[in-house]
Amino acid sequence: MDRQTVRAIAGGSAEALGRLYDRHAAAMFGLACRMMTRREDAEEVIQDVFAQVWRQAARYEAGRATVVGWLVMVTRARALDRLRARRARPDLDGAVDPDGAPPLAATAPDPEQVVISGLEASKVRAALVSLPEAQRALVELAYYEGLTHTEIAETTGVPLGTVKTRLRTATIALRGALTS
Amino acid sequence: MNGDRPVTTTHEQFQDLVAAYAFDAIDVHERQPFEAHLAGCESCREALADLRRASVGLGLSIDPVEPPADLRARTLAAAVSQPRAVVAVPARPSTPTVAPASSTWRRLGMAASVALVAGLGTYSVMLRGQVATLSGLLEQAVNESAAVRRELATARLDSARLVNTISVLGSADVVRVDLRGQATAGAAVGRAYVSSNDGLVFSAQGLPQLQAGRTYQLWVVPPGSNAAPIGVGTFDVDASGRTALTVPMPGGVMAAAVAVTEEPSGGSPAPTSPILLVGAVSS
Repeated sequence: MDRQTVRAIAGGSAEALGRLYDRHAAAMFGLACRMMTRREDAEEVIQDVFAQVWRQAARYEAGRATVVGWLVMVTRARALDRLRARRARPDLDGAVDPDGAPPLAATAPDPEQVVISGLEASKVRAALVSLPEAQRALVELAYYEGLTHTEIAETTGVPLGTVKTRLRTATIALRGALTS
Repeated sequence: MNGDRPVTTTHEQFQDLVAAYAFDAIDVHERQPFEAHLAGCESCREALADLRRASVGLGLSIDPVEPPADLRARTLAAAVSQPRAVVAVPARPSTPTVAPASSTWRRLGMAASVALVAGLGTYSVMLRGQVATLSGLLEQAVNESAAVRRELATARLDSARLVNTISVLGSADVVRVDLRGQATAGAAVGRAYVSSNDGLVFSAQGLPQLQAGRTYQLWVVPPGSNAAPIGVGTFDVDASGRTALTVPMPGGVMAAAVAVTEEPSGGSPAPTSPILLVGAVSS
């Protein structure tokens, strides 16, 4: 049903965009709120997300990701854009040009599939929660705050090499959750 | 800043970066060398694929938060008001397999082609001669379009389309088609201005509301008894059953008739349901 909705959006149906919003905005807003420090910024991320969906619905490929997976990737990408724009120029209001930003890994075009089921998603979440504190904190800093290795090292005082190793160990557990 | 240099080429050090890359946490100066390594390393690509899925999984496992009630209208209005090309539904006139099954379509093409040959030349001369009438119709069509757009809950600002509407109405080969409702849309009326070169301007009212998963589709029927109808666009109607759209015409196509059917969302390569609104080019 979601795929039909995206097709209708690609055909120009504003009503279909509204239906997609009604189904998924709360989930994406939850993610945006977790990543942004201010509510208003999370609201702007949602606007960025649905603006991108409207522009790019024709490019969505059903085989590569579920619609909701695609929305997660778009939401993370747009949230990271705003986070980093704000960090670079805290005096500006975080205005971004999503089409002008360099492509992020999560949205860079490639032939891999990013399909994940609800059950797999909860396994990943469970794996995250059961990580040792030090590793979990790093994953959350990287994933939700969008900090790079270097920024994590500077913020936490943990040496850069240790940051890299801990992140790698943590993600082995996350990968394991997908294959268990 | 610590004194770290960009990564060397050992595979292990790139392995450290896979997670960061999947989460968009990789340092700017490490991105290029990593992508170069990725191109030639199967195991890193597999790891990246898994971690991208984990990344989506983490995003999906966040608790939803109900956005403020007014965010919906703001978000949708801003999204749909972006400049957007009008896309004609793909239809390939050169494919012989989409010949219409119904004889209604064949009769339509045949009867209208007679009128077309006889009347087209005279009609367009007449039309060009009636400058005052034409600019009145132009103003009316623009006003109707503007009124319909305002009525729609999500206002669709498209200045490019407005320019196309004006150029269609002012083109030398424009013909007018009055459409009458049929079958379940007996109360509907429509009007189309068709220019083979510049496009098609269409408006209608009185069309029934659509069910979920359905759309209206606009067709032009070329002259000739075997001409297949060509889809030129899909549309929905507002709460009062009105619509207006301007679409390009497929290259080299002349319209003998214009028709509307109801199709599954996204449109169909050929009509799959009865004609709801139809009109032939008149002289």
